Amino acid sequence: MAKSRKSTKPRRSRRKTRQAKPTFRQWLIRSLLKLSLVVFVVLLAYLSYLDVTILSKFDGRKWELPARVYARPMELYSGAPYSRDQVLAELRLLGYRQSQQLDRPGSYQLASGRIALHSRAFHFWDGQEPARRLTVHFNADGIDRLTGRDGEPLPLLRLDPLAIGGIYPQSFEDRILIQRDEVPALLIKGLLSVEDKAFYEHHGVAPTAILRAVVSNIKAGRTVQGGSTLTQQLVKSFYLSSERTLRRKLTEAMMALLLELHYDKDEILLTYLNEVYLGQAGERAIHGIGMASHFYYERPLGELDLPRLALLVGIIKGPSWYNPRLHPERAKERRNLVLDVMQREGVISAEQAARAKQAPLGVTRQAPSGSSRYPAFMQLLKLQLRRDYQAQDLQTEGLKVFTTLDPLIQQAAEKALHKRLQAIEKSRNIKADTLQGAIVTTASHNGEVLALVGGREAHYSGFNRALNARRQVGSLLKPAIYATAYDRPDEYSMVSWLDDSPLQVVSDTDEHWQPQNYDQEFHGRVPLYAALAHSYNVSSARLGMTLGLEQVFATLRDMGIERDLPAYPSVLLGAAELTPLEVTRMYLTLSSNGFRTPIRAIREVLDVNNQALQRYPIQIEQVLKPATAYLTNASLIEVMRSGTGRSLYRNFPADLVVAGKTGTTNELRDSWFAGFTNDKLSVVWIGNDENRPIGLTGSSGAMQVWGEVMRHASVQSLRLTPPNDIEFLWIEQASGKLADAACPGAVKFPFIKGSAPPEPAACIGGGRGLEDTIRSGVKSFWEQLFGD
Amino acid sequence: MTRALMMSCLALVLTSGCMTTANKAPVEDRTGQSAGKYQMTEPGSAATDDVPEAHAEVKPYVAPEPPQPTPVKAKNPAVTSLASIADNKMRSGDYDAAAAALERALRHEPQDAELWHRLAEVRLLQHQPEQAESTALKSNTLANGDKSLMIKNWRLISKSRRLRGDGVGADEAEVRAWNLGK
Repeated sequence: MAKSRKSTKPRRSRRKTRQAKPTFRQWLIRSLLKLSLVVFVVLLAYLSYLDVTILSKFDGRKWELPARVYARPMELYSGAPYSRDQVLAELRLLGYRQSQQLDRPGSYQLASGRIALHSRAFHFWDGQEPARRLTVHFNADGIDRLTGRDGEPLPLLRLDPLAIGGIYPQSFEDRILIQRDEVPALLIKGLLSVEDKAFYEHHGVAPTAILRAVVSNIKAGRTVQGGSTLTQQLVKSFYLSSERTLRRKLTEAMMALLLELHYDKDEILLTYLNEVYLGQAGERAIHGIGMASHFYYERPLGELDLPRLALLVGIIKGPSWYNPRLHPERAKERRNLVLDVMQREGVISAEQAARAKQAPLGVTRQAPSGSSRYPAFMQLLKLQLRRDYQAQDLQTEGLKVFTTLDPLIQQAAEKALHKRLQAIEKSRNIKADTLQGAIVTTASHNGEVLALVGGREAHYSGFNRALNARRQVGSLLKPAIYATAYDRPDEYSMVSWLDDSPLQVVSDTDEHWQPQNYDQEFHGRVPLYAALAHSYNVSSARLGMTLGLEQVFATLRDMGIERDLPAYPSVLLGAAELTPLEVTRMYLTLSSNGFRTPIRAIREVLDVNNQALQRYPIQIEQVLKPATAYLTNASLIEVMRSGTGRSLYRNFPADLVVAGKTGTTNELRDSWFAGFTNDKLSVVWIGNDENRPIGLTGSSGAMQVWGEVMRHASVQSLRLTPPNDIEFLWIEQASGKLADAACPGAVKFPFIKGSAPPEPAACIGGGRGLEDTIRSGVKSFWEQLFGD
Repeated sequence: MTRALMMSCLALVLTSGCMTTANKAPVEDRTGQSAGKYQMTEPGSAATDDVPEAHAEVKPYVAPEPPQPTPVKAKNPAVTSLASIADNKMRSGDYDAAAAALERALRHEPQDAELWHRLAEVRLLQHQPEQAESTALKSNTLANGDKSLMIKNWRLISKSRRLRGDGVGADEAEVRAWNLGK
């Protein structure tokens, strides 16, 4: 310490003497040194800024990835109700192509009574479904069996699901991320031959390539060749604007060097392949070769052959200039150039190149639309997704959303609505294109939405009537009245007599209500089930009033009508406005045997790495007693067998049992039909947007559309399973009294045990019948107490 | 003592049975029962017996046919395969996957009471006693007289009720199971 203190002074004095006489040369050197230090520091700062920029974007989430939305995967198995045509339609939707070899996934062969196919691998939420070669054998009812490559039986195969849309970010960049092992080797070799031969040798910039480019550009007098490496191209599109200045060029070069310093070649190449811009469809920008493969060929990258891969490589240079759909000749020339270069570089043989050059471009005629083909369903889906996800996450996180949509049923429903409305307009002299409609189809038991049509022009996303059109529902609410009655077995059974004579209801404010029947007649004494089957208004209203408005409303709430209905008696006959989706909710409770089941459009959501984020399992709650639901459904079957729905069977397989209900509103403004089989439920509404009369009843309008949809939806006949407390008893139909098999005209009716009419019919004369009946009645009563 | 108890029980049951029968009203009661602030007023309130017979032609009623029980051999191989996937997943403790496999099977056979029962079992393992009970009840509505399945369902319901702290309900379910087993 002491020593240093001592030495300080003399040094200072020396400096002073030097500073006193600076020569110009010394001054210059010092200034330059200072300046270069400043420049160096600034450069260092700039470099580290660039470095941070690079790292943050490269290590962080690189892209805003739209959520991908998929339809239900078709499941093939022995006994599946799919015809050969339906499986074929699905394969074509999925972009499978006919091929003699079946050497690649995504191909099929047709033969009589069977389809051989090579399925695609797909990552579902519960794991990978591998690609498989198999044969699907058909019989008259659907799929007979599946056999593997060596003829061994296969139990089940899940096809890859159809992509039905995306949920896009603000940037409208659309891409499908691909992994390194998904990229065909030929594509990489082709790309490097054309764009960057020395990719694996350089450090981000290739001075020789730049020189070569400069020389040839000077020779040509314009820019004919770029000297940019793939790394530079990536940097350019990733971080920089498209201005062409020297400063930007330098920044680009520096960033390219830095990028190469941090990341290995394969990672840079993969990022390039996912980033590269390859086309445009309206606002939607196609990025990355994964998306481009779907955009141009409607098939995954792994299924592309040499000419198609070469075209993709060619397009990179100028996606709009070489747009193969707009400029096929130009694109072909470019593709063939790529093939030539590939041959020159020894990537492919001369023979391969020659053959590939002969091939057509192989691009699909129309670019697949980025907006979904099924906008109405997508609306429902987004509503349901919004309960659990932020809009931002849906647009940017690359989620995979697996939905319940069945594209085959959806298409059948769209077609049925369009076709039937046209036919109805024509046959009834209604002005063309004035009728509107909506359809909701779900699975009968689990509430999965299979199809949703929001209007007759299903591909335009306009007013979605299935979700948003609130219309009077007419007789569709009646089953709730009858369910309320059946829930009181000590008062009502299917054969209880109802009074269908004139009725007047007076409110305490002296309002009068006198319901009328559709046929403007009164029908006197009618059995309860028949009043529903024929949709008699007067007896139904009287029954509802007797049961109590509040009780009927409670049943409606139990069945899933969440909207508050006005507490007027006329609501019993449907003077309440509901959407087709709300009506579906109510009938779903019936089709699933009295269990309320939420309507679901989503099955699972996976994140970008195929990890399951969420499953949407089936949730059920019993809201109607099994026997109550059974008798209500049995009555709805009678609607179709002998009541207002019977004309369905003019155009419908006679052996297909259906439960359903027609709905018609005042002055024929709305035509409704809700009905179900064992496996499918559909609700159809027809009307017009101005709510003017259309002259159609539920059966002449909506039911016709319903029949057309359900005939195509591969339905199973409705088989009601009688719950344990249901028994079948002989009834003399004319009197509604207890009978036996020997009674003329006696028929069997289901009863909740203990609810049989007490009086025996006069026809019971054989003695044996009466006693047996009574004894069985007592026994069943015992069973009711001590049995189940 | 027990005998006397049984006899009085029987008497009670019989009288209540009689009362139920007596109370049964096959004819709708239209005596102007109040329904909120609305009142029915019938012009010429005739007794129902005087109401003219329906003049619409009545088609003879035909009761719906119950489903035929599926013999075990005829079970859909896809369903069998999915059910065995579910079993494996259940054994390895992956209940979500087990439930998903069963839901997949139910898409193909929505009325298969056995599948609903298995799903109820998984729901119990997933600590969802409410869903376990609902699902077991669903299995019962589709059981089509299969007593042993119904017994299993009531036992499962009893368990899930006990898990939810509903001891009385659990006992009730157990009695149901026991009565079915008799």
